[in-house]
Amino acid sequence: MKIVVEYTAQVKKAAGLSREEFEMNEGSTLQELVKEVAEQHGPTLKSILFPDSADLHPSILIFLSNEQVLWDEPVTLEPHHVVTILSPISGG
Amino acid sequence: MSGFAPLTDEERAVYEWQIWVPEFGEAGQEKLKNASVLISRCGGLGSVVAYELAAAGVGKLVIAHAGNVKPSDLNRQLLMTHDWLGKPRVESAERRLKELNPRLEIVAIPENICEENAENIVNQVDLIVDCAPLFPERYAMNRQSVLQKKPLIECAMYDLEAHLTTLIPGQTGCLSCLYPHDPPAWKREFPVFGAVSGTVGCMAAMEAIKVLSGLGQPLTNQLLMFDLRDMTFQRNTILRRKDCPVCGTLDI
Repeated sequence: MKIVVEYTAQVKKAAGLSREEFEMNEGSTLQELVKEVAEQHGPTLKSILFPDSADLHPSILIFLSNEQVLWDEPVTLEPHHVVTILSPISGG
Repeated sequence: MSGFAPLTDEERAVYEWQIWVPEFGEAGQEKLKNASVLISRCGGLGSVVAYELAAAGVGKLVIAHAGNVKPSDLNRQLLMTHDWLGKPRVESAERRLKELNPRLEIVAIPENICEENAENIVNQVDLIVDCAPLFPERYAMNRQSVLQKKPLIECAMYDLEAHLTTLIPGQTGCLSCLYPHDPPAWKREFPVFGAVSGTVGCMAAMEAIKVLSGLGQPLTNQLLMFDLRDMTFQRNTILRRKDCPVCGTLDI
């Protein structure tokens, strides 16, 4: 199934695009998708998303079709899902 | 400001057109007149927030911003002017706000918010609009927002993107629920057009007006995200963390 992934701010800059589709197997989890995003885009994006460990940096937010999902909540993806990966911003 | 001051005839004339707004009226205008707001800092975002709140008739603004006006401020910091280059930013901001609204009470503090001064400064106001460029300043205001149970309007921009949410202790999570740790990817200097910071600044000012006057539905438990590069707007629900070290003990 194809899952749309959107990026914001520094995550978008590191990914080099604002939106793309990922082909995932049925039954894949949101966490697997985010790890796949990090692997496919290389070290800059990976260092923002997973700077220290296998856990997502706690201040990177994940939205699943406009609802925030915490990293430790297991979520199975469905074909209609749009995943947004948000990097915090503070410009004033 | 002590007691609840009614509107004068001059104020009824100045604010006549917004008093016409349904569910706002003269009662809403009186609430603004008797309200106080902290804006930190008064850069691209805070300048516009302060200007809109001064124009709308908020009675007292506390503005906090260190340093002197630099040439690179002038593409977006609309309270700073060429003739004030090299002179304190808060003085330029105070002067411009007074030109717009001579009735406005202003407390101009030539400091940025930090853990040491936040308690005293937040204690002077009813509501905070957070326009700081660094997360440690934002966390200092957030902590006092929770401790003093005062609403915090969180607004920020980067490039052509912006975020906005309204945090109300007891009704929503706090900034530390949203971002538990200082985001490592954020840098002090960032690409910015004044029109982007001004857009989210106007929205943040409207959130402050709504919370202070009871008008409409504030942007609580939701994060508005928009990108003016392609004019996409999203409103996403956000979560409170029950284990949040800042607001986790508050009853909701």
